[in-house]
Amino acid sequence: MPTDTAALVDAARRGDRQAFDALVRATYVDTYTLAHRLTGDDDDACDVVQETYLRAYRGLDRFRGDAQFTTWLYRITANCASTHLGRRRRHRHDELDDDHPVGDLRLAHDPEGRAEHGLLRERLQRALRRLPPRLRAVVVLRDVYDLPHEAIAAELGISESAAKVRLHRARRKLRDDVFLRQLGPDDTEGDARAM
Amino acid sequence: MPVRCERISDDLPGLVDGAALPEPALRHVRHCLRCQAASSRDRRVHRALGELATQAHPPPTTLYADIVGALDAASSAVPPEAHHRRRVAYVGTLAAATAAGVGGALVLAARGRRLAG
Repeated sequence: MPTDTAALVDAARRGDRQAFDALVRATYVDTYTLAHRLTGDDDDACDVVQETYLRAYRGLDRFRGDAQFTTWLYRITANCASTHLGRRRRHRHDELDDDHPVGDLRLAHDPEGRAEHGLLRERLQRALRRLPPRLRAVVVLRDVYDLPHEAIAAELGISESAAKVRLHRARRKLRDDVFLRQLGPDDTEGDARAM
Repeated sequence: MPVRCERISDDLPGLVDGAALPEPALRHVRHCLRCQAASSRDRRVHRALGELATQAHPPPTTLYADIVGALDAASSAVPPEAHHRRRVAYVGTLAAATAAGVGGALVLAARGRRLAG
């Protein structure tokens, strides 16, 4: 059986289920991570991931190979998450677990820098959770997964200009939440303390 | 009319990926420490968001099996190769019917010529 993604996609297109299973195995952790970031919930993320692979399997003929397979999957995931959340029509504001094991692939920094960076990351994850799903989807797809505006707009069923407006609004909310949430009206040192 | 911070606050986050601000707004940012600080925070948040791409959120241990199970159920209903087989059978049937029709017409034409002769 082939091992590289393009060959696996070709084999899966010809009906090779083992090849498609290999594609699932290679991508499902990333797909789940994105689904979790978009939905903010374990069960919702699992549902979205399963629906994503079913749609991908049925629509493999429509994957032209001009984009990466993973980018195509991200678009399907975004679409499934949008549909899923739209169906649910309720926002979740669960507390973020403090014991999220994450694999940080960057080079190690000095301890003080790492602690500072860890604090920023923790606040950012919380702030992302607090964003309304409509704003969260746009900022995650653009700033984390680097999808172009037109792809985001297409998958979320909105215009490109609406996607940009939502993105700016989401970034501003994140910035205010991460840096200003715990500042009192006269607390000008809090910002420095936070970072 | 001078530009106020509030008027450009929604456009400021666009600076992190190079969106253009109108010249009066840019002039304001160049002289406004508050907007410069906000823009600097935007860049930090933007960088931190970019780094999230390298961090995986561990899925439940059963997820892969669940996905494959769902695919099995779906593919037993309509496997993709079945579409292909159906297409081949359809085209084959069409070709056979056409050939039979042409053959029949030739036989009838030959028989007609023999009767006339």
